[in-house]
Amino acid sequence: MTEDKEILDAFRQEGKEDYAFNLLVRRYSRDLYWQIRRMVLDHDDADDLLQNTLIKAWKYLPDFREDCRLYTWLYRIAVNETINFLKSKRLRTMFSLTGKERALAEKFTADPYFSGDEITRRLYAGMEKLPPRQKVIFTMRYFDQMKFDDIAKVLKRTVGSVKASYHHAFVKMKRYLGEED
Amino acid sequence: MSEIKEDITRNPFTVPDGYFESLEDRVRERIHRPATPFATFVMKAKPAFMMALMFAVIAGFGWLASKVTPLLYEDPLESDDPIMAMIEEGYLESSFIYAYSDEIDLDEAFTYSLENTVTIEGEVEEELEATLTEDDILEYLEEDNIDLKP
Repeated sequence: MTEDKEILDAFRQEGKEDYAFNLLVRRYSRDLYWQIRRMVLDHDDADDLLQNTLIKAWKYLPDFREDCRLYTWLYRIAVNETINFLKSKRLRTMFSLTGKERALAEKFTADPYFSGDEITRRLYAGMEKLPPRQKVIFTMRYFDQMKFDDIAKVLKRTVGSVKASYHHAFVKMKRYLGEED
Repeated sequence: MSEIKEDITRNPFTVPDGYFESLEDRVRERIHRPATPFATFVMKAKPAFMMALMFAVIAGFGWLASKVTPLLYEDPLESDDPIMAMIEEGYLESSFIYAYSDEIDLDEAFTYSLENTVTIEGEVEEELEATLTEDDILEYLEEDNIDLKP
């Protein structure tokens, strides 16, 4: 919280906005990047989404009400950006001539910034089948081990709906990985 | 799933060298990059464009409705069909003409009716001329007390 205060105080001082923003980027960009990357897989997509998140943060930081941690606020922006991106990607994939499975397999093979083993590939391939919101919730819970309450706060949804989405995602993943065996 | 979960602590993703170090500069460059005149125009014109598009869509629906509605409610009596026209004028019985319309050549039927009307009138005149004499006429007039004198 002291770091948040330092960043926000600096941002409110005239002529120190750039300094404050550099602090914010340095402090939070790595964590945000890895969260986004797990959801979108591709580095270029993650880079675009992270930059969009930070630009929005710069634009709307004066409106930040400090009713939560700065990271929670940034994370909420990143997750919303990611969900919108995944929805549009899902729509594009529907009209794609290349099969989704094949496209994903090619992506993993061709991506120099992915070094996962077979088990990891299967896990991420299964996640690609989930609807965007389920995928995001599954990632937050399964990989980051976030509490349902915290996920609900970030997504501004009820705890019940988050639990239900996670349950659906978990069952689908289990079924998918079971079929693969 | 549990077997997989043990492996999730390892991050399978990497980034290009120096990615995070250069991120600050790239984001700041994007923030301070002046918007191109076209982008500014698009941002300003977007609401007006959307409104114009909405009106165009509504006008399009109106035009389509004006074209489709007459087809749906077309008055059959306004047909150009000659059979329908003759029925409308009372020259033909609809039940008759529909029963035989496939077999009737209208031009031929019309010509035939004209020719036969003349022939029938001629035959009547000829028959009258052949059967009635001047005496028969006078007798008829006398019997009915018809006075032809002025």
